[in-house]
Amino acid sequence: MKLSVSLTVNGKPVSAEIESRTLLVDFLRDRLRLTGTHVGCDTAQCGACTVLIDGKAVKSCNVLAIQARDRKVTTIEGVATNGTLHPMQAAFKQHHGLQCGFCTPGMVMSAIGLAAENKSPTEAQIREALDGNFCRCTGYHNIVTAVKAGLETMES
Amino acid sequence: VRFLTGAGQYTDDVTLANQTYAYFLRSPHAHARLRKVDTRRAKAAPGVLAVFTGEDLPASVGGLPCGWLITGTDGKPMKEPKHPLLAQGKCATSATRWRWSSPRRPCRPRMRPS
Repeated sequence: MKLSVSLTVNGKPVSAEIESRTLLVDFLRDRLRLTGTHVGCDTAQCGACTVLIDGKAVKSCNVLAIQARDRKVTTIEGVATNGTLHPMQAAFKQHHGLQCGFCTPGMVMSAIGLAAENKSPTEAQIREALDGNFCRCTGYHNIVTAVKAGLETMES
Repeated sequence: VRFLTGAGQYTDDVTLANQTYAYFLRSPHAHARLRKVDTRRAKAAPGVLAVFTGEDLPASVGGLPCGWLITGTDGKPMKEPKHPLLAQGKCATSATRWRWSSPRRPCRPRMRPS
C-alpha cells in the first residue's frame, strides 16, 4: 500500500510516496541518499542506524518511515552546522573515538540523545546509555571518553 | 572527519548504474553437514541472475587464503584446515534440506558492483 509521508529531515521538509512497509532507515538511505545512517544488523541490536526523532535517539531500522510522519528526524549528516562539527563530533575527533567509523554515526546520535536526558551522566551511565551501540573495533574506552567530553562541551 | 559526518563510503553506500546485489544465505547451524541444496526455486524467482553454491566452484578456485601464514618451529608451513569460499559438504545446516525462503530484503547484506 502506498502512503504519502511528510516529515522534516535535518531541518528540510521532505514529502514522498512510500510503501507502507518502508523502514525509516531505508527511506533515509535509499530515497534521500543519506547513507551516513548505517545498517549493521537490521534487528535493533547494533545501533548503527540510530537517528533522532524529535530529539530522541531511536534505531531507525525498527521504525517505519510512516511513523516519522510530521516529526523532525535528525541524522548524522544534520548535526554539523555550516561545516562546523557538532561538539559531540568534535569530541569524537579529539579523543579518537572511532576506528573504522561504521558505528560512529550511531554512537554520536545516541550520545546526543543522551544529552537531552542527562546532561552530566557518570561514566557508568554513559556506558549504559551506549549499551545498544556496538563497536566491533571494540573502541569503547575512547568512545566513552569522547562522549563525556562532548557532553561537557555541550553543557558549557 | 568523513566518518564523523556520515560521509564515509562503505560498500553498502555505493550506488552504481545497473548495480546487482549478492545475498549470502547462511546456515543457522555451525559446522553442520550439508545434505542438499535445492536452488530451483531461488533460480526461478523473478530478478535472480544466478545462484551459486559450493558445488559451482571449480577446484581450481581454491579456498580463502590465510593473509599471514607463519611457519612452525621446524620451518614447515603452518597447518590449516580448508576454507572453501562457499559451503562444501559442511557448515550449512543440520536440517535435511535447505529451504529457500525469500529474504525480506534480498539486497541488504552484501553487494558487488556490476
